[in-house]
Amino acid sequence: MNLYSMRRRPESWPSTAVLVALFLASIPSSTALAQRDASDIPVVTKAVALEGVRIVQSPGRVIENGTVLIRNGLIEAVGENVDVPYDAERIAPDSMTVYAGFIDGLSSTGVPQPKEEEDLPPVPDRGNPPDDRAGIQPQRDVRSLLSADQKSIENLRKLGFGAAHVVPIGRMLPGSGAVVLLAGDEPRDMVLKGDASLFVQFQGARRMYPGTPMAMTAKFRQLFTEAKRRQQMVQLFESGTSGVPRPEFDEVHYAFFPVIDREKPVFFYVDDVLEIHRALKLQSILGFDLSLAGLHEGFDAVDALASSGAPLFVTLDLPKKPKWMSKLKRDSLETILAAYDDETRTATFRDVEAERRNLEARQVMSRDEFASVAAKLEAAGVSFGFTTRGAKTKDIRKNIREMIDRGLSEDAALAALTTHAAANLGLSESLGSVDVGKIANLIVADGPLFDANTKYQYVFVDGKKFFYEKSERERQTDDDSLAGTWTFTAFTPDGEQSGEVVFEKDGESYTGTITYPDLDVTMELTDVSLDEDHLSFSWEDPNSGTMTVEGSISGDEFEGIVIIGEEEMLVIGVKEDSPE
Amino acid sequence: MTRKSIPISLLAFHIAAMPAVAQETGSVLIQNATVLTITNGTLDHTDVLVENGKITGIGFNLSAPNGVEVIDASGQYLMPGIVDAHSHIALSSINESSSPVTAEVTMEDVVNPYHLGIYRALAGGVTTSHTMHGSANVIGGQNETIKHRWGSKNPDDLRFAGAPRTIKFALGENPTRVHGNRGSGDSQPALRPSSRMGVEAVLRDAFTNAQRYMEDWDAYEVDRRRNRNAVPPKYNGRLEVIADIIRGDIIVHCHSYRADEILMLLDVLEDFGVTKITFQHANEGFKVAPELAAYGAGASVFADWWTYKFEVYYSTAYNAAILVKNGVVTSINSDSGELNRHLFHEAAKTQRYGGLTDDEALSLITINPAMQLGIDERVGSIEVGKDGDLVLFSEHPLSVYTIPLKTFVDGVKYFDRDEDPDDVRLSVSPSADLDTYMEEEIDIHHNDRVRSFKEIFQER
Repeated sequence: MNLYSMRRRPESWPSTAVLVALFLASIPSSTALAQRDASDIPVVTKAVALEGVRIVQSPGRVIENGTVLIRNGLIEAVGENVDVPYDAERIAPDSMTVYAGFIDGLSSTGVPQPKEEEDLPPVPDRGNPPDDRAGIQPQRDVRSLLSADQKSIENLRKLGFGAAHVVPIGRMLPGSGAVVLLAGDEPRDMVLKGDASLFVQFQGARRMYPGTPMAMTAKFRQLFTEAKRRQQMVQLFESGTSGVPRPEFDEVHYAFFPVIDREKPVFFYVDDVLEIHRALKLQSILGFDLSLAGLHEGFDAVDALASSGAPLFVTLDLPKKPKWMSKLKRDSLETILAAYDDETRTATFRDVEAERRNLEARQVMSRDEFASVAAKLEAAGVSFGFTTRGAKTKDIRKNIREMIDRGLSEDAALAALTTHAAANLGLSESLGSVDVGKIANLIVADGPLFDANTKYQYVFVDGKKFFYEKSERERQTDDDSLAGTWTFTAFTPDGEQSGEVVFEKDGESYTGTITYPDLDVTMELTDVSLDEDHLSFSWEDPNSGTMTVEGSISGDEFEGIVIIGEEEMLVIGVKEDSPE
Repeated sequence: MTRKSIPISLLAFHIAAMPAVAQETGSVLIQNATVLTITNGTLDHTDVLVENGKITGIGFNLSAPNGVEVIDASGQYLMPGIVDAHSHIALSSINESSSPVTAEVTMEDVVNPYHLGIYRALAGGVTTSHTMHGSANVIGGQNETIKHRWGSKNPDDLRFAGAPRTIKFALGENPTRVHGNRGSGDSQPALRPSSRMGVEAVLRDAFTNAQRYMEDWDAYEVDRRRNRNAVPPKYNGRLEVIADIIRGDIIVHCHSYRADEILMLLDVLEDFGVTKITFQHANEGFKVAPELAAYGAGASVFADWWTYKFEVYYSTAYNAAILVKNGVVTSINSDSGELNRHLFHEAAKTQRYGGLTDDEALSLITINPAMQLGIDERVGSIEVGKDGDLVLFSEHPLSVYTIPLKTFVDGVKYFDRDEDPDDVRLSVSPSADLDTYMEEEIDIHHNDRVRSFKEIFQER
């Protein structure tokens, strides 16, 4: 293999190493080097060893202390006792866990946004517009539309994603998708599997046919059925019989041939539940391999989704919270839910508040349903992946945590991001776990994968190393386990009592306040003391006198007692926010 | 390589042939009601038994099988579930107005079981709606006959299994405004039709093309028996559907107002051998009632709704009665998520204007619309063997004081005035701002979750 043709160069390589590389590379062939610019200089070694790490090979399969060896973009060895060869770059991070890189089931990562259609002239017959104007472009291939320097690639990679099934941007039939690795200097470096899907969405043409969902389903039936006829004509013609009319070529219908042959799945992006049913119905009438991505309202179609057998990719996007909801913490939402009365029969003008409270509760329930699609599919025994399409980068980890809070197991979440996604894309052989022979897409995390404070310090994509330094804020949070906002809940004979406590660092010591949300009163804390993980503090309660809390902190959680006079009661605390 | 002939079965399919999904049925015994059978007079102090969705007994002292709910309806009136022959409820889009002929689209694909209009219709005693494509196109989409199985979240659960296929046609001002830019001020290039003559031309072209399409396929069927290299014609979903109209497999429901355009369509249909036709609205139907009766055409009209545009100025509240007296199968429809909640009052107007009998008036919202939809063997009257679609009223349904109390579909109770909570919605937006939530709901009226074609056009 020609070393120079590989064009592999980790972007974060330290400059001294580049110099070493330059020197070493010049030894075998100085003439070759002279003909190339600096970007062609190969790295000194394409082997990396991650030593002394905890390895989660796949959900439930863990090596507590081992080594992962990467070479030429592949995982060469994994285990407790791996001989690290002389040429490997050795990385021995402290207290880190290695996970398989995440896989995005559907997005347009790396595809530049096309120009607006605004300025195009009106079509002469909007009932029968040219295919490209109507968004009927199944012949397009995302590989020819990719751009390796898109910011979206880096955004997703930073979140731990190493591979993505990407599709063109368009309307009803934007083209064919490909699975790409999220690193590379040029699109051709990135493509793992071309022609991976025929992408379809219920996105109507603007001011022309097909505009509505009913016309799009009709158009899909028309194209598929006529493509079937044309394919049979082509086969008849190509069988070599004379006297068969020459089949008419057109790229739109021809793009359906591999779908008809079931060599290529149809990827439908469906967000509301009616779209889910439409896609499933088209599949059952026409017969093709169907994958579904999106599924925002999948909570109402779990049975239909499970029985369809279609590979599924659940959205990592969650609906925007209304203003009132975004201000409240979970325990307040639980209180609203507990007060819901589904039997109210009150005239609105008599009790607007009762109706409002019920509506708030229904909005919380609705929100929870959107966040529970993944949990419900897990409960139904369905192996699903995730799609980042439509999800804001900054929300993705937060949304996964919310799904976990709504009942998704962490193992299923990891599987959805790795093994199940790989299986649903037909790429289990090369992606999805930390195993020998797989593509070296890895995450090196400094804590539990889904914890809010966990930092993904390295992400490897195709064996290329990306190092993410901690921000100033992240370092501060690490150093300080106490400062921030906590919710403390005491279990008293009168029921649970909560208080919001804010700790601030003041030199070497701490100050703080406690707020009773129900009464809206705030008191200063006294004697705040943190010794290793032992925390104690006091305040003057207007009714009960001095209250003292004592106990221990473990990560973001506190457990201890509150002392009121002679009485002691259990109290637990949860850290909600760290200081900005 | 082996030679392949092209099996025609791969190409021709009908969506109506889809397997029916499991639809819930129930059992109930309603005792001691005044039973308005529609087809067999009024029966006092009578029991009606529904078992597994079908009416199995009408008589005195019927006993309920084990576990079947018994309802004491003393002093109350039981009538068959109301059938609304023209509605746009429970749809997520209504008009594909990009083309004057869109026979290939079907409302089956856009049935929306979450639409609150279904529950509101139940509260007005309506158990079946003919939920239709809009009137933008000369030949619009295929309609869907649904039963109001409120609470189901799968669109197919609402389908009236076995109901014949129907299609929407539209004459007059709507298609000429939308496509011919007549009065719309639209800057898009105009298409046919921009006149009533154009409407007829579009119809004749469509039927002629469908005839040629049928001939092409017939010729292919003959050819492929003797020629192994026979090539099938291009598949055309639009012409397939129009061909099915010519074959008599699809009932035409045509939006129409004026007598001249009604006669025009009768001429066109006669030329192409199409016999199954009901004229929707037909405000001037009274002028051509004998012609309609002679053709066997139905008319589905408003009781008294007119003057909302020029072509509906010449109208009368006697329309329904005149049509009935001339032997036209006539119904009164709502075309509205508001009117459908008091169709019994709309029917009662024909007694004030036209002096129809109780049975004649009630037929306008029961057995007659059922005939127009081809479902009269199943619904529209209280007879043993028919579906258990029933409504219980507090007073005679033609009384202005009457209130629908309970509504059953296939023996399952979907509305009960005694158990009618404030909020029956099947879904609530997780994102809407509460302070404006009510206004938003009102703003989108009966079409919440419905996106109009215009709205889709205007979106960026």
